[in-house]
This record gives sequence, structure tokens and C-alpha cells, in this order.
Amino acid sequence: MSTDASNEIRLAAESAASRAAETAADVPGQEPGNQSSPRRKGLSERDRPLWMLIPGGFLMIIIIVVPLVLGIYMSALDLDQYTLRKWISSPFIGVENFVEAVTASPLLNAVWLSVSYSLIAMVVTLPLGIAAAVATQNAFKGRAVIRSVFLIPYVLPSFVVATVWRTMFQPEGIIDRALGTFGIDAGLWLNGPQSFWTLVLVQIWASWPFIYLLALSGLQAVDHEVHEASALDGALWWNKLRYVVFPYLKGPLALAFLIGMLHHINNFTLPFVLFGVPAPADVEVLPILTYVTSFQSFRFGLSAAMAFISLVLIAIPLFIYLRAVKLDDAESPGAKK
Amino acid sequence: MSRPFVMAYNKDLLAAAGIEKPATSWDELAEQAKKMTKDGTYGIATGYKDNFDPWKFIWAMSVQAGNPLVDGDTFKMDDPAVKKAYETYFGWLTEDKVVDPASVGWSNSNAVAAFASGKAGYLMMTTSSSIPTLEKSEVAGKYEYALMPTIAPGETESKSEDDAASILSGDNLVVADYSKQKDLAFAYIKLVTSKEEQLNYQKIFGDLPANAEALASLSDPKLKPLAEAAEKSQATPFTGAWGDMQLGLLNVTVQSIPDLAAGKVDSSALEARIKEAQEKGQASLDRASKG
Repeated sequence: MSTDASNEIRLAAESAASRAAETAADVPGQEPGNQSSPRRKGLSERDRPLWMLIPGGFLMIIIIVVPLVLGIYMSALDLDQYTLRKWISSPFIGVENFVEAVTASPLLNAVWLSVSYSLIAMVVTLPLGIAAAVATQNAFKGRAVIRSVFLIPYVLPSFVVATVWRTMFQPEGIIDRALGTFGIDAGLWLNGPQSFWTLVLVQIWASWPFIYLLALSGLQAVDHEVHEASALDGALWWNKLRYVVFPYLKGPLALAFLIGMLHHINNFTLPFVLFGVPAPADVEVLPILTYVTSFQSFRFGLSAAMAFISLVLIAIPLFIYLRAVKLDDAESPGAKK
Repeated sequence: MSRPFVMAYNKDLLAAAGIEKPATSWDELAEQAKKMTKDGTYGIATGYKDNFDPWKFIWAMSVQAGNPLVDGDTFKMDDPAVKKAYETYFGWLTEDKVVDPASVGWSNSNAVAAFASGKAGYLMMTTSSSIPTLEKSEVAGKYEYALMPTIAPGETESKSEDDAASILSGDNLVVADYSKQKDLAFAYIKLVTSKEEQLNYQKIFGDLPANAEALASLSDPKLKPLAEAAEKSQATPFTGAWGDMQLGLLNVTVQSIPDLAAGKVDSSALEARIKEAQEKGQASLDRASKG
């Protein structure tokens, strides 16, 4: 799960970076490029060797489409430990699993927890990431080291991050002791209402470098001439940042926001390793609930319904994301980049 | 293989508190633990955040009080014996104050570590697999195993037909009814449960042999209480709903941990949590009897 997500993020980071580079290349010589592109497009489209897509398409079908269809079909079956042997020929019960998931399980609460925790973590990491990117934009001695250090939380596997934080958050663990020296008794971190904020905190720690990366790629796209021009006009640092630099960051950051949300909502490893199963009620997020339903209660049909609901939930930002990057008309001249 | 659960005790700490024999009832256990609790040493080491231990305590105390939790098609978690079991188990921390307050965040391995450092009189719910750790610790040579109490909280004698000293624990081998290779499967079972193979496994992993002849041939005196616990083990209810029941029993403890840390588990809150687990467990049992 986490590898998938990080791959996706890496891809997105690359595409954001390349688009940023494109923008940089486009701006000065925009006019000639625009005029010639429609004609070239027509030519290349005719002779595209589409058959070369067959191996990839075949893999996509096996790896993505078949499991997806199976999963959706499972969500309409009464598939549990008693009927597992019959698997896809288990009794068909239509939408009953969905009804049960929505009315008789903590699903809605889990959705609320997942979305709110993701949103809070995202809103906090945005300014952190931007600040870090701006701070390391201008060259100074040791910048390469600082930039590398910033990426440490991002390259650590979720499992490691969660294990280390769990150890630190133990009752009478290192965090409690550190706070104790200031006379603060913080209470429990890994159980009870505060566990929600523990999850948010650890998520922030683990994911701000991603925002930083994308903000950095946005900053690279700001032309030298723009800096010069604003300096000539006498813009001071805040005005320059606010009116000149930030508009460049809008694209990459919107992207970062959406991918980050998807990643947080889907994050299983972090809450699972931090809190264990059964999770405290305050952190029973969507992936945990789906997992418990499947592999502790063995209600595979019900859990497939839950998974499908979370897929729909995720598809909403995903749809916005696809619209935003406009994968379909990347070649057309007026596309927003 | 079988992994019966027992408790370990620190001989020096028990002797220093003037205790001659390890406790045989849960009430006595708490009394003895109180005597040993002082100056950073606690009577009992156990982990409330462990992913398994909590439900084993509740199950054991409840069985010993005469309630095996499942009666035909009825799940009986709303029985007073279950609440009493939770109160006893939580009470070590909130009432008797005989466990380290930090144990609300402990798993079983933290408890083993506390016992291994000589800071606890009893280590609850452990098996022979703790021997390798304890033999290399400060308590090497100073500890023994004993049966866990078999007399339910508040009682003076066992109310259960069997002693239920431990949950019947170990590995199961199943041959499916629809298997096409039944003979081969049974031949395999015969092989792995043979005396030689079981003794070989014991040597490597520390688990007790399930083969009676092999078990009898083990001479380490430390293993005697374990063998006895294996004999007095009782199985959890055999139903497909047990997974949900176990989850429910455990979940009551998980959701009570904030109260435990605050030093008091409210009786009505506990009842509400038990009730929720009862309903879920019963629903699951209904599905099991329907399937």
C-alpha cells in the first residue's frame, strides 16, 4: 500500500517538475511554438503505433481492472468465513453489504475521521513545506546538506516512522519525560481522544517533505527575469513572495494537496503500527476499519463494500486531480500548466 | 505443539515478602502482590496494551466462575462474572495499585522486560518461550513458573468442572473435508506429531510437545508447571464467531485504557463497553449458526 502511494507521489513530483521546466522553456519563445504545434499534432496522431500498447494494456487489465471488478462484485456477495470456499459463487445479496456498512458499522465515523485527519495534516504541512522550500531557495553554504536532511522523513518507510514514534509516545516514554521536565503532564498519546492528534502529528512529520519537494519544483520555475523585474520595481521580500512567487506555486501545490489527501486517506501502515488493532475509537480510520472487517471478522463481502465506498471517496479528489493536470490534452496549446 | 500459559514468579521477592507459595486464587494473587509492591517494585507485571493478553485474562476468570462465554447459540458476555473479571483485571492498577502505571502502554514483552529486571514479583500470562530471555537476565536462577490462579475472583473454590489453568493454546492442523489428498494429509500429521519430531521442535523453539510420550520424556523441572498447565488447559468456544468475540473482549480493554491511565474505570462506562461487545459478538454468533 505504501509503496504504491509513494510511487504515485514520485511520479507526480516528476511530472510537476517537468511541467515546471516546460513552462520555463515556453515563456520566452511562446509564439512560434504555439503556431506550429496544431499541424504537427495532426501528422503524428495518424501513424501512432498503438499496437505497442498491448503488453502494457494487458498488464493493466490483469493488475488493475480484474481485481477492481472482482472487488466490486465481492461487495455484492455474502462472502464470509463460512462461504469463502465457494468464493465468487457465494450467495448474491445485492446492496445489503452497503446498507449494513452505512447503517450498522462505524463506517461513517471512520470516513469522518479519515477526511478530517487528512485535511488537518494537509493544512499544516502546506505552509511548512513552502517555508522550507523558500528557505532553501537561495544558495548558501551547506544548502545541499540541509536539503538532504529535509528529505529524511520522506524516504523513511512508514513502518519505521510509526514504530519509532510509538516507542517515543509510550507512557513514561521519552516524550512524556521531556515534557515532564517542564512540568507538563500530557496524558496518554496512544489511547483516548488525544490519539487522533498523535496521528495528525506523526502524519505531518512524515509528509511535509513531499509538499516541500513540490514547492521547490515550483520555485525552480520562477524565471530569473521575473526576480530582476520585481527587484527593479522595488518590491520588498513579502510583496515579491506574495505577488510574484506564489502564483508560480499554485499549480504544484494544488497537485501536492490532492495527492497528499489521497495518500493520507489511504494510509494504513501509520495508524496500524502506531495504535494496533483493535484501534482506539478515536483513530479507527477507514483503512483500519476495512482491514479489521476483512481479516479479524472475516466479513469479506462487507469489507469489499467498505473498500468500494472508500474508492468512491478517493475518486472525487482524484477526478479533480486528473482535470487539473489535464492529461488528456497536454499537447493542446492553451492547456493550463 | 502446545504453548500453555503460566505465570513466572521471582523467588527472592516472594520470600522477602514472607510468601511461601504462589497464589492459587485471583484474590490471593492481589493480596500477595500488595505485599511485594514498594520502592519501585511491583507485585505484578502485565501489559494492558498487549494485543492478546487482556482477553485471555477475562476469558480465564470467566470460565473459572462457571461461564464459558458461549452457551449454545447465546453469547454470555453480559454475565456478571465477565464484569467482575474486568474489574479484577483493571483493579490491579486502579484499586490494588500493584502494577506499574506505565503498563497501560505495555505489551507482553514490556512486562517480560520488567520482570527480567527484577522489578516485579509475578509475570502473568507467559509461556516457556520466555525462558531464553529470563535465563540471560538479572533474574536468572531466581524465578520459577507456576500455574496461574484457577479460582475465580471473589470465590474460594473452583466453580468450573475443569481447572482452566490456561487457554488451550498451540498450533492446529486441519484436514479439509473436501480435500483430494486426505491420506497424504493424515500421513503428514502423523509425522509431525511423532515423538521424535516433537522433541526436535521443542529443542529449537521451546514450545511443549503435543505428543504425550514426548512431553513425559522432558526432564527439566522448570517445565513441570507448564506440563501441568497444558493438561489443565481448556479450549475457547469452538465457533466461527470466536474471532469477533475475542476482538470484542479485547476492545473493552483498549477503549478503557484512557480511564485506566486516569486511575478509575467508571462502572457504567465499563458496562456500556461490555454491552456493545455483547451485541456484536451475538450478531456474529447468529451468523455462525445460520451459516
